Amino acid sequence: MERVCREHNIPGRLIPVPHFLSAGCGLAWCAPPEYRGVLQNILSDAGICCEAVQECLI
Amino acid sequence: MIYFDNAATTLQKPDPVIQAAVCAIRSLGNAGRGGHEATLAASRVLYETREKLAAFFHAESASRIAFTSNSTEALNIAIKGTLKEGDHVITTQLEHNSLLRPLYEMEERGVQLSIVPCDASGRIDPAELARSIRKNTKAVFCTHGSNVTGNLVDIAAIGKISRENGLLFGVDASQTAGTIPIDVQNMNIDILCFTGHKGMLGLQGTGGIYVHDGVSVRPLKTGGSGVQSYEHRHPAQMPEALEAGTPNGPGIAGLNAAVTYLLETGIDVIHTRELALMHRFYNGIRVIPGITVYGDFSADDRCPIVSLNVSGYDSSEVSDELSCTYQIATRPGAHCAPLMHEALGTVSRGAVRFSFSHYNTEKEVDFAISALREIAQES
Repeated sequence: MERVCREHNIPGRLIPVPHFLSAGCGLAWCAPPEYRGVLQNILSDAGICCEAVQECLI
Repeated sequence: MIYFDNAATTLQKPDPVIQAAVCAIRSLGNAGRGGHEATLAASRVLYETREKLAAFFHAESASRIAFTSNSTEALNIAIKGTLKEGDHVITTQLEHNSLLRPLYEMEERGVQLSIVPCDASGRIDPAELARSIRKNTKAVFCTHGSNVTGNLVDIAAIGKISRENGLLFGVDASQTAGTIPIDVQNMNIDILCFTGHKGMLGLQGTGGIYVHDGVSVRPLKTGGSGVQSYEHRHPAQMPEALEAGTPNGPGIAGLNAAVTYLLETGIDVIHTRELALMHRFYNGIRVIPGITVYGDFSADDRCPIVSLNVSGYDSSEVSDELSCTYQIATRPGAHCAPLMHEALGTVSRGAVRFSFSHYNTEKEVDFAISALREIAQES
């Protein structure tokens, strides 16, 4: 995911999954909410499955 | 020292492998644990290595490759994670104990085991293997190459037989990964077990298992995974399903560099070089009176291995003489392949195994031939 986002100049970075979203550890790609649509399209095109897309204040 | 024990482990590693491991020791955190730069760096190395290995073995995707500590661990996962009481499984007489002992253990748990015999030169006939298939046959597990004779098994033919009969097909690529091309999809391989420290030219303590998409394997060990921490059960998705605990980051970084080295050098170039050294040695020693060589040298579908005995000597005596007097490293004994030695009639004294790397030289080979000539004259 990180590589695909970098290749498409999607701003953001990998962060630990916020505990209030998922209590089971792991990583999430953190990006500005306005990139939600383009990000989902890019991931879909790259065949990358993501568990969920959430909006929250970091 | 002249090192001819590369089937046990390749002693000389490419410089980039060593450098990558050292760099990893100094910089990598624990992969998948948190989000700081050191852990992300480790996660990136692991993922990139999975990608490279997936491409190397023609796997569907990086997620189908899980890291293990060696082939033995991978084979234990494969065998114990797929067979259950009442199943029938087929293997061959060529196998190493890393495959045989898990099968014997499963036999004690109610799995039926058939072992396909080899011919006098140590070859397996896939058609004979096919004749061992029963109604309850679940799987075929076999080596890609004998660690005693060096002869390859026709895994493409066995893969085809397995697929046609709806059987799971698992391959032990300990002696071949890194030097013989393996295409898991074209060869109908469901599970591939490989080590990182032999032909792959990586470090000891590395290896892996490929599992075909759709094949379910119960994990051998469970524990920390870095994800789904509040679940009682270990994650079911690959590759986390077959990995638990902190991975060998430095070793995997070395394996990453090793795959790059193999691809840049060309495994065909490496294998051609190794076979040339092996043939030079074989042609030099086969004419020495009192020396018996084991295996089939009529074709080049083989690993660069020559196992032999000198008349009147135990294999350990010869290997020790080679080591002490000539500083030549070889492997005597049974090579953890008891059934192969039964087939070759060498149970009582084992055999002296010479195994070559592309780093060896013609001068080293010629010196070993001279040494064996002197030892044989003394017998």
